[in-house]
Amino acid sequence: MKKTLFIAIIVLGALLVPGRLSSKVVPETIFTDNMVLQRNSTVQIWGKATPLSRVSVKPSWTTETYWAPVGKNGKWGAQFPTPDAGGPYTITLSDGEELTLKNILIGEVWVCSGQSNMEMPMGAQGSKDGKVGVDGFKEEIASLDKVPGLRLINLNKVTSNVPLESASVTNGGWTVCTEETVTPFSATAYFFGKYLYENLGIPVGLIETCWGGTIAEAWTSKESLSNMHDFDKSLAALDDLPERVKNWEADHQRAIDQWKVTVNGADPSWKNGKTNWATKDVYDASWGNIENPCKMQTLLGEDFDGAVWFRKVVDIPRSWAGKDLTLSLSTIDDEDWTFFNGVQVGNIDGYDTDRVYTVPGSKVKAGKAVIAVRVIDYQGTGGIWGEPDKMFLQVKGHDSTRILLAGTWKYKVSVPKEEVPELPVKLDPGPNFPTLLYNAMINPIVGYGIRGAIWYQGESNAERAAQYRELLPLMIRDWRKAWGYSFPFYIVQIANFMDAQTGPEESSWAFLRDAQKETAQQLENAGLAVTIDIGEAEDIHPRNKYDVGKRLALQALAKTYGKKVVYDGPMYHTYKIKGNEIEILFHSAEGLTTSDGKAPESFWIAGSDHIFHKAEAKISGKKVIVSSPEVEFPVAVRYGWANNPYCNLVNGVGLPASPFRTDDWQQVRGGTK
Amino acid sequence: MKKILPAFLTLFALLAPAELFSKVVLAPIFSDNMVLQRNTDAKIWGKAGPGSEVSVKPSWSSGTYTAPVRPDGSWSILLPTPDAGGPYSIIFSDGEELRLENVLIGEVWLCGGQSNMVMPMEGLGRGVVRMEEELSNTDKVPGIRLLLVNKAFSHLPQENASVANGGWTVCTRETLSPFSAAAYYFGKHLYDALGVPVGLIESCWGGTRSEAWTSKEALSEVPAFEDELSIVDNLPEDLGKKVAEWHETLDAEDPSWKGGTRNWAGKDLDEFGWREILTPNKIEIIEGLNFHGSLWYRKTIDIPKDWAGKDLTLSLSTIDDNDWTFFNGVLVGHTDGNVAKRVYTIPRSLVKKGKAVIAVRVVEECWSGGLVGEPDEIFIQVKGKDGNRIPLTGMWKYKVSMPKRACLDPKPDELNFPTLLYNAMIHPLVGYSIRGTIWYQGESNADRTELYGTLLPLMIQDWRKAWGYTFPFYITQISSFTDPQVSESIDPKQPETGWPFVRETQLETSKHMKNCGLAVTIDIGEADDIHPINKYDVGKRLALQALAKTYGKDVVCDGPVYSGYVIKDGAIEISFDTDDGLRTSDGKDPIGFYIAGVDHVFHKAESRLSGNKVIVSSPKVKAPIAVRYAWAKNPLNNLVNDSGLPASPFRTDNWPQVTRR
Repeated sequence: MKKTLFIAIIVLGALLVPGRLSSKVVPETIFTDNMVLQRNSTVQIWGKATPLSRVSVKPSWTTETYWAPVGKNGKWGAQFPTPDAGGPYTITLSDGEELTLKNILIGEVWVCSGQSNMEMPMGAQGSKDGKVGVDGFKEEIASLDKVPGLRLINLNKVTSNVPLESASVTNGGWTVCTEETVTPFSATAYFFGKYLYENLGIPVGLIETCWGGTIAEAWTSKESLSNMHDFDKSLAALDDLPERVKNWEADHQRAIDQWKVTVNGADPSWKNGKTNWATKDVYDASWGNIENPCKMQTLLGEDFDGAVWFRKVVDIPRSWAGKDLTLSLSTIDDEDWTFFNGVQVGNIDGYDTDRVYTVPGSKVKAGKAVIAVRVIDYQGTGGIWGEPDKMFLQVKGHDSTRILLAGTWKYKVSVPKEEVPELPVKLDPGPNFPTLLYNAMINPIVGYGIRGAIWYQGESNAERAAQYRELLPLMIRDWRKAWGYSFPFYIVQIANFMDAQTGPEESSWAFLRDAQKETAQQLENAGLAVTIDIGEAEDIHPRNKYDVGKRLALQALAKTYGKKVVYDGPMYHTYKIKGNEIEILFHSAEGLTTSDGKAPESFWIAGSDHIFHKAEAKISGKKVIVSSPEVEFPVAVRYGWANNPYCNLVNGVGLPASPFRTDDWQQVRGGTK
Repeated sequence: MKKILPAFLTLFALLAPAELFSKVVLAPIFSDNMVLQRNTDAKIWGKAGPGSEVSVKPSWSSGTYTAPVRPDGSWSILLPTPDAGGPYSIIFSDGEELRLENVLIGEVWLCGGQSNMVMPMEGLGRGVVRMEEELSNTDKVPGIRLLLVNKAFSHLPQENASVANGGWTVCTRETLSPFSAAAYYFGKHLYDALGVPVGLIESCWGGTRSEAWTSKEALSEVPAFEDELSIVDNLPEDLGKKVAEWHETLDAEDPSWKGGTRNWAGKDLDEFGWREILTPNKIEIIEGLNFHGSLWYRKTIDIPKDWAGKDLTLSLSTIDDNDWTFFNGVLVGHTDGNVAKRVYTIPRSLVKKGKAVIAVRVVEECWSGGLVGEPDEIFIQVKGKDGNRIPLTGMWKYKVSMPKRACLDPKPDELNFPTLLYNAMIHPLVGYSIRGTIWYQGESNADRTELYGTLLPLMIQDWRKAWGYTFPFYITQISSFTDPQVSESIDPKQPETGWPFVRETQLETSKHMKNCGLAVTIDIGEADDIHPINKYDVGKRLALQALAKTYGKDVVCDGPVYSGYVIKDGAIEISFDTDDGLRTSDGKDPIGFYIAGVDHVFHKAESRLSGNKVIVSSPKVKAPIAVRYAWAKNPLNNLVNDSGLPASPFRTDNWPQVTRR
């Protein structure tokens, strides 16, 4: 491990750090203006500087100056104590030349990680309804002035087969909360942080490092995973890679960029991003005719890839002159450059993204105008191929009068397929390979002083729930070991999803939830936020992230900050078979009731034949009594054991009970690895 | 169940001669000396002349109770019983009187299970702990009464049990010697603590499986038994009779066995005409495939001088089907069935230096048989001294004593067939007012542990349903056996013995079923005897369960009970529920803990006590996720509470079982 790391660092340093930097102090990318440092602890800052020099670190909250020697490799690291919560402060770093980090707060720092439900941003666009933002998004954006002490840092998605030293971060590092920085930030993390901020009254820093659709083993280090023989083959494959930083995403992007340069170079219409094919006066009478929307392969041949221009003349009414126009072209496959009278108004790469551009009023004059679109089709089909009624031009905001753009356009090929080199093949296995995300998105932040971590992941491991029961604790302890202390780790149990339950199910999601519950209960300093009541049948990304964040915060407030709050819903404790009934006992069941005032639902009961029947359940104090006329000798009960059960069992503060089962019968799907 | 009723009638017609209808007849489990459950309506039933009326007059009451006789001749009555006391008499009459004498009113317990519940006070080769003291002092327990149900099986529910000694007996050397030691010590502890009469009904059979003790109706819930139940359905109606007749005829005709003289067992028998056989081997390789019947094996050995006066362990592995084993003419063991490993103890009093003869009578019922076990399990040694064994494999003398043409078919090991023992040994008792049941069984279910988790609760529910009330059911956890656990680590790919899983089922069942309890005996097993002689503590621990949970006495009845765990950095912290402390029996650090990480390899752990917790770790397991305690057939263990009651073996994981048959 050490050898690999060392080489990777040197190479990275050589790649990323231009020569001039070695003459100046450069802290790591995660240490920037606006950051929050963990209060009342000894924190570390590290980075690069002139080799064999000395870096001074001077925080503004103290008169002390801390010194860190710089190694031959230019690396330095400083440790210093932090005061109680407060700020803003500055920290001045110097190896001769000074660098001052400003607007620093001292407070509570949390790592926020997982897959898409942790990634889901405040401004998430609904996949079905197109609604913008999670529940409460607008209200939050409107009141960001109330959270000056909430600070965000968001890591870019990067993979690596060896541990990386530096994180790739958005916005140049830590930011205060503004519409621009909050909109793309994790909603779960934001609401968690805000709830802490409001209840602790001190600054909170949130480090978002997540990636949709990813598996837990990708977030775990090689050293830890090697103990679990399930991953032996994958780890061996990693070892076979050349011993260097292998950044597939960046490599691939570079290859694509080079490919585009080649295509553009072969394009007579395109000189260094400038074109003379877009203006009004281009003679296009000799161009072919095409009925848009359509896939251009219908005219150009099945295997056509290359660059094609499309032009359409429109007549701008006198009343539109000087007004901003909305130019909508629906979807374009793959990349477009769109011009209005020779002026570029848009450029998007993405075969199924709706193109909606604004033509500035200054360019809008009455009379003839030309819309010209250059399209590069990288692979497969291409062209202006969307919905006819989404192709139009109108005055912005005036939906009633539109010039429709579907119909006959002129077209001309500017780069024929013979000139197009083969698209670079993506060698990248994607992020879902053991250790890749740990290396690139966790390892670089290891050592940053944090209070704890929150985690929302599991959907992508659902088919291997039995393994997750061991993998999740392994990952948690892996991180704790890396940081050197057993920090709190709070887990979001995956929500309800898919078709509403109608019968007994061998649900892989149920097994996964059980693995999360077990981990939270058995591992020191862990906790569980149950969300079985706030999922959505049709959306794997429920929009209620407020309650997710709040329930995580309740775990932290109670267990980490010692506040007297109820933090768990009713948690199954044990059962007692009494004749034809089974009595279920719970912890955290003060005021046990149902959220809808009806009898508890989603209880199922089985006898020795192991066939589950829908059960009658009644609450009796802190117990639930379960029975069914179909089961004379019951032996097992399951609650909420389905992909999407209707769960209404809550305690007095409205926190839901986690699904559970009393049996340990053969896991039909969850047990397969 | 109802459908089977006509079978009762048929049976009754067979077993009850016509003249009985003219006189009151009680079911065999009601007799002189019986104990009736106090403060209840005790059910008594029997036969009498159809259409008449039976009057019942107990001496504790001035009242007379009457029961009409049904057209089939059956009658039953609920007799209100007073508080504990006696002796009383009860007079039954339908004109002619029948009088039961010396009846006591007290607490009645049913005692069921396999060989460790069977194990009599006189022992199996060796007497049990405190045997002589108890057998010599039976006059001190006039209020303990015994009812021994004879072994029988049937594919149809039987109305009447076969009982030894004509019914209930007081304790005498003769009646107590063959009676269950675990049951007796249980009863004795109750008797001493409660000061009221105690009646013990022993109904058990060595080597039996729990499904044999469960009714057909209950078992039909379990898909795994579908095929076997359909076989039961197709057995001939007089199966039990056929089996008994086969054995009776064989024993009667066998010249070596006449009158129980056992005259082929002695040391000085002239072995002229005996043939030789290399063992282990099937007898059929010499006698031909059609051989069935009885034969004798003999082997002469030389007892070393330094063995004289010491207990010896005689191990013969499995024998097919039944054996009677003798040492110098003295019977040292007898086992039925081709499953059980024969490990017998030769009492030191029989062991003298020089020539000795081991003689074994084997009854081969069907298919193949003889001394057929594992070579390395056939030996004799001084008990506990594994290093110096005399192997008993190789040449033995043998002689057929009684060849029999007909194979016993169906085979009698079908006593382990589902429902057969319930039908013959439990069903006839149903209705007899009992306070509860004690149970010691499980060894024979260790080869199918995945089913035992279903079977044990099912059987308990089955019995309770039959009796009509949720009586207390106290389970003895199976003890330890075979070579002590020594391994430093446990390879996850190696199949495990099923014994720990049986213990786990017993623990879970006692925990989750109403009115259940567990007597842990992991600390009092014996490496070289599947039948530990310390039945005193077994009975005492069962009695503690009853005293605390049934009789509301303020006694500690449970050892420390594993209640949960927390995974810390390099250790796992195990919590226990205990109201009586947590310590080790030898005052040292806890032993018997193994710990595993994600590779599932268990390593012997370092453990220390911390209040009511045990902290478990191993330098070999950096990130542990699971702990097992006392998880072996004969595990290390020393965890107890202040009263010395042991903790049950447990595990924190629920990894799939890979068990060895």
